Amino acid sequence: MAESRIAVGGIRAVTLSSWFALFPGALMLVVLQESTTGFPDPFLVVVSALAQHVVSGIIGVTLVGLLASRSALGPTTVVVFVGAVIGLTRGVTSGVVHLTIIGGDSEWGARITFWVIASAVWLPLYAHTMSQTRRRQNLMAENLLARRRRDRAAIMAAQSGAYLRDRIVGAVRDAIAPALVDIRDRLTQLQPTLDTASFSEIGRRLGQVADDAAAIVATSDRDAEIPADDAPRYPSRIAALVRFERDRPFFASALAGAVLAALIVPNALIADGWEDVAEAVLVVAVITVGLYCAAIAVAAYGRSRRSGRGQFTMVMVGYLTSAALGSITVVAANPLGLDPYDGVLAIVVVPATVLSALALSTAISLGSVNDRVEEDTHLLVAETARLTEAAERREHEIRESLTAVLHGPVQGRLAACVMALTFHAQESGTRDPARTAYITEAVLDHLELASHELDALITTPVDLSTLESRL
Amino acid sequence: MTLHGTAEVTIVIADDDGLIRMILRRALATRPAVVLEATTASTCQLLVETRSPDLVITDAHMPGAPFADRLDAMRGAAPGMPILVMSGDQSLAGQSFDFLAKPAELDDLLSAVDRLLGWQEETG
Repeated sequence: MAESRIAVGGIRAVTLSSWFALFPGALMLVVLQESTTGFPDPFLVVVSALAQHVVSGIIGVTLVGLLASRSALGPTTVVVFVGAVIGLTRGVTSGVVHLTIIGGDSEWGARITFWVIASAVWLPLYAHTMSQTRRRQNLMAENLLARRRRDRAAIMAAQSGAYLRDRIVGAVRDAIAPALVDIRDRLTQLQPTLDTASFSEIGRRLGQVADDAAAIVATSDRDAEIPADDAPRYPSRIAALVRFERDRPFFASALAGAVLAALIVPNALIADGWEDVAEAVLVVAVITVGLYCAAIAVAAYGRSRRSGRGQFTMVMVGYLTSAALGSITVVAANPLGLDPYDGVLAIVVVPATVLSALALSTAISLGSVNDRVEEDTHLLVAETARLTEAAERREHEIRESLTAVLHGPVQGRLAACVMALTFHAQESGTRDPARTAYITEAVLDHLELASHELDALITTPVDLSTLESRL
Repeated sequence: MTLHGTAEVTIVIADDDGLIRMILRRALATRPAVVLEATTASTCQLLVETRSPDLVITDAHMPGAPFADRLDAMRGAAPGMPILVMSGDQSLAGQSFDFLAKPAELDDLLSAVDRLLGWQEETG
């Protein structure tokens, strides 16, 4: 609820780029509004739309800046007020442009009324949608990251004890086997001429190898083969942001009809009096019923299937069909031919209907949809923590048992070799060639045994991809 | 190096690694000691009970009974007999017995043996 209030008041979410994104819709409304007095001059429409957007943008940004400095949140009334001021600005600007280019009666009252109603209705809606869309972007990125981390933790948790053990022993073997071979070669090579310094040096190297083996068992990087976390990425496609199950579709349909009425009915009154008002009301009614029927169809589809993509396509088809019905109604209501206003309306009503319905259903649903994504993210984080804790506990147990297993056959033998070499170097040097040869042979045999013991500890490795495919 | 107050003593070396036993025996040859060897925990215990050694130098991980049980058995059979545990398992350090980490230095080993047997060392 608090988030929804923030979102409604989040007029600052309407940034410069999102303000420019409003231009096509505003242009459409300028065409509709200017067609009330005949087919609009394209030059007038373009200049008026540009002038309105720039002037109202400057006024809006200034107003929002002033409000933002006073309060972190703008309550709904403030947003409606800002919308009304922007509408007033648009109405006055359009009148000035019309007066400058066309001259004559600028119908200030009608223009200002139309734009104030349109802006006061649409701007809060747009601000709310933009704010919640931005929140959705962040939530989806967080959710994506949380899901990756959960999958990663699940891979760790799914690893078998044998697999982990083999990985650690494999890491020990990879690290120390080459060193052992090298040391054995060096011992063999120097055997006839080994001196005290050589014994000490080889003893130290072997001591380092034994330390490395112990360190690897304690802390080897078992996560090396698992991809690290990627930085959060915002969903790049708009579709990913708007493709979700719509809440309260019938209410959204009714509201879409109401906001369409706010755009069409005042202009109809200006264009051709009450006759066009009746036509506009009929068009809105047909569209609203169409949107209702589409909501029923989408609800039935949702009960039978679960595909989000398919459901969104159904929604869009429903909106387009309703819009087409509205357009056909305009044509059917004018059997003798369309005047400029009706001609423009028959075209404009299609995008206006689709955008209104989409915006309304998005605005109504986004808050709760975002809450669900947030809740899902919390669940993922909790599950990740549980999986990670279990995996770490098991890994600790495996490392402890491995320490005991590796201790005698490998580390114990290496330690014995180190002691044999260094003791011999310290106690008698190499004065006794026979003893030196005896010690060297004993050490070589021991190193050979350590290598064999290490190889024997390795079992058939487990392919990590088979673990991932199980998830 | 001269050792004062020395008399021939009996030392048991218990380790399943032949190389370790060999180098310890060699190192202790500089001391007036009879060195006995055990390759298993049960042999070591038998030697403790039958030969009343003055010192046991033992590996922590050997075939046979668990280390803690062996320690209790030796202490039960020969109360007050010093026991020097040699192991690469650093977690055994700082407990209720004398400990020497493997791989050990020759000087450290001999110093520990001399200390445990009450031999004073004097450089001569």
